[in-house]
Amino acid sequence: MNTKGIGIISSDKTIFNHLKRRLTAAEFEPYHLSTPTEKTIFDYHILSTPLFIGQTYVATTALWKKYFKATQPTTKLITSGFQAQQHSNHIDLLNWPDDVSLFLANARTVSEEWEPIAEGGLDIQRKLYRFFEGHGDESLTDVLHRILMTLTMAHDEMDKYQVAYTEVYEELLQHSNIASKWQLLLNRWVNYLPHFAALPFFTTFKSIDQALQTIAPYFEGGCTNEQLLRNLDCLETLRTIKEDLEIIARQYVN
Amino acid sequence: MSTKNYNILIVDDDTEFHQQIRYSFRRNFVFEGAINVEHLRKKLKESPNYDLILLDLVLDNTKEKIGLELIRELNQDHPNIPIIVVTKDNNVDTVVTAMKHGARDFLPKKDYDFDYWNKKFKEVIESNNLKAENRMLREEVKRHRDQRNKEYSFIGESDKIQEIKRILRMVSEEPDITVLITGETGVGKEVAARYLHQNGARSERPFQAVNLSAIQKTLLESTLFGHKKGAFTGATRDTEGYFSQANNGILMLDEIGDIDANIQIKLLRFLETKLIRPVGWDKDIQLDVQIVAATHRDLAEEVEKGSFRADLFQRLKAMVIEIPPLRERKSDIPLIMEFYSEGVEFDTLLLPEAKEHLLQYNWPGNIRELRNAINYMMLRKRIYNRAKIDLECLPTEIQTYQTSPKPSVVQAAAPTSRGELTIDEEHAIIDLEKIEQSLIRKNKVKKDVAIELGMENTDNLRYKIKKYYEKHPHLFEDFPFIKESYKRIVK
Repeated sequence: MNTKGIGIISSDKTIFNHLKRRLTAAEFEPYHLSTPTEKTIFDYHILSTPLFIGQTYVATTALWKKYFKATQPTTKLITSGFQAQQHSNHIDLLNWPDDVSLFLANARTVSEEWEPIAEGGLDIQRKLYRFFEGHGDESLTDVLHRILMTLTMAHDEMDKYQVAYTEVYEELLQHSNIASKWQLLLNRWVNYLPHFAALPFFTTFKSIDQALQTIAPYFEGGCTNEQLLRNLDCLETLRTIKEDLEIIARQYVN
Repeated sequence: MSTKNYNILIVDDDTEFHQQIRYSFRRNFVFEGAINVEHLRKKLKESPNYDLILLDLVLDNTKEKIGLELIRELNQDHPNIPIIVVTKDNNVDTVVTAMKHGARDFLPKKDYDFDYWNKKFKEVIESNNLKAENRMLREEVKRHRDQRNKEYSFIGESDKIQEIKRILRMVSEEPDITVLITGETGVGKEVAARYLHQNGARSERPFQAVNLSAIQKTLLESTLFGHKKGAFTGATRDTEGYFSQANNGILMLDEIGDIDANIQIKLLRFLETKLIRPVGWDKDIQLDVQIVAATHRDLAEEVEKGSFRADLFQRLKAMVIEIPPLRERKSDIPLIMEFYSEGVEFDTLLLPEAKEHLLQYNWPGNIRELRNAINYMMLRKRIYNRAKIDLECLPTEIQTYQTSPKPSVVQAAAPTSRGELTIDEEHAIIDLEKIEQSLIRKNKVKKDVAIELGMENTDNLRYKIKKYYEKHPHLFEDFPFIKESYKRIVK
């Protein structure tokens, strides 16, 4: 473990520079983390709060705490912003600690029980909950599961019972409005994605985004082309996306 | 049964889901659908015989999980239709609530898998059918048991019988106590044992009654304790004995005074350890069976003679209930007659002189004799086309009883050279006389004789004749038909 290194998560370059200057003066080695990796293990992480993501200020401390608790349980997560609050794990930028080394030493680890300060901004946990568990108009996973179920049924017909794709299309895919469901999925995805930037699991979201673009031609072609369905491996891709999202849901959604 | 015949009702507000399920499972099941609660109720009213309901929990735009309450309602109104919840929500609390409300299974739509769902549909339907069959069988068994209990009703309001019933009810609260019921033949020892069963903690459990003297000595051990295949010649498969069949219930061992020393030891072991060992097995089996023993013999006397183990007798006599002979509770005769004549009141059934004869007769064969007499009288009444039973309809021994202090059959059958007869001999002569007459009437066909005399099978007839022959061979001189048929009957 790097005992002098400190990972800094910040969406504001000015604040990052300010933190870097202060911490360097106290003989620490600050690093900017755009997306965290488990290989970079620090004793301390400083999270600038709230984060400014997708034109919105977002409260993310609780999510980061969960992330570090799962990946680096002994690290200390310290929030830093303009909230004038006394807290073992919060630094008020306008009231910098006299002895930052002592402050950091006294801060509590992510594995201990403590509530983050009220940082203001959009509650990203609620947004995430809607993404996964919301009904009808809000949930992305809901529409993903519908598409996945329909494609699974289609493959069962073709692969288990040798039913021709044309019949499967007419009897199942067309009736299920799968092409329009795909459009709905994309719209929701595009709407949600910016809010999840600079979150611990954003790398997964970026790879999901890439995967969705890969299989898009089949759906954009109206789902009429069997070759595209098979060549782009649409069913397996959607299954992988579902599994990746389930891992995130298990970790971050209560 | 092909699954194609199973009819499934899908209840979901998502019509696309209906279409998808119908299409994917079309080879295996027949589907109907309902898209809301009203539609569902209408469907069930039209056809309440679905094999399965697939129920979504959210059935309208309110997003309320109204399906959870519907499960309760459906289970109450249609308990024979199993429900599988098929929904988007797989929250643990929702699953637990659905199962608590009576859903048989829970399938999240997001985890759709044709093979798994297909298997689940089939499993739930078939296990439900099995449960329904079990339910029907249980009802059948109950009906049968009720019928048997009715046949074996403990009729009587006399002080003696009321006291016995009170004791039996008290004993029935002690499901582990061994009970010994004594009394003359025909007094209703099995009826008393069944009364104990009906009113006790084991009433929903088996009741087995076995007449030990009716079973061949060589087969008695395997009949009681069971045997393993190959244990002896003719043991072609593993067989449970009466003890195992009565597990958790009551086993009535009738004529316990007639069992040999070997069975006595095994019975004693069971009473002490609750263990049996089937013939040919090398392991003991633990059972929970309450033993009710019965005998017409004086077991204390048998112990004195050395033919019955004293330690077994001590075990058995923990609770002794003696059933009095009918002659000691004649006030019960009208009730018993009413019962066996299917509710026809005693007074409306008989002319006064016939009634008087019946009440004065000493009924050596007890209830069994009374029951046979009732059948006899009812038949005679029909044959003679009488409005009521008169003297002529009565069995001869009852008609003539008043004229002599001893039954006429005894007089007729017993030569004066015999001198004073014991009570036991008197009973034997009465029974033998009936058998003799029946043999004449039935052309010596033992099966018909057994039926006419109200016996369950020819074993009872054989046992009775053999028993009398062993005890009173001299009496047989007066019954030429029995004597002539003896070898054929007892072989």
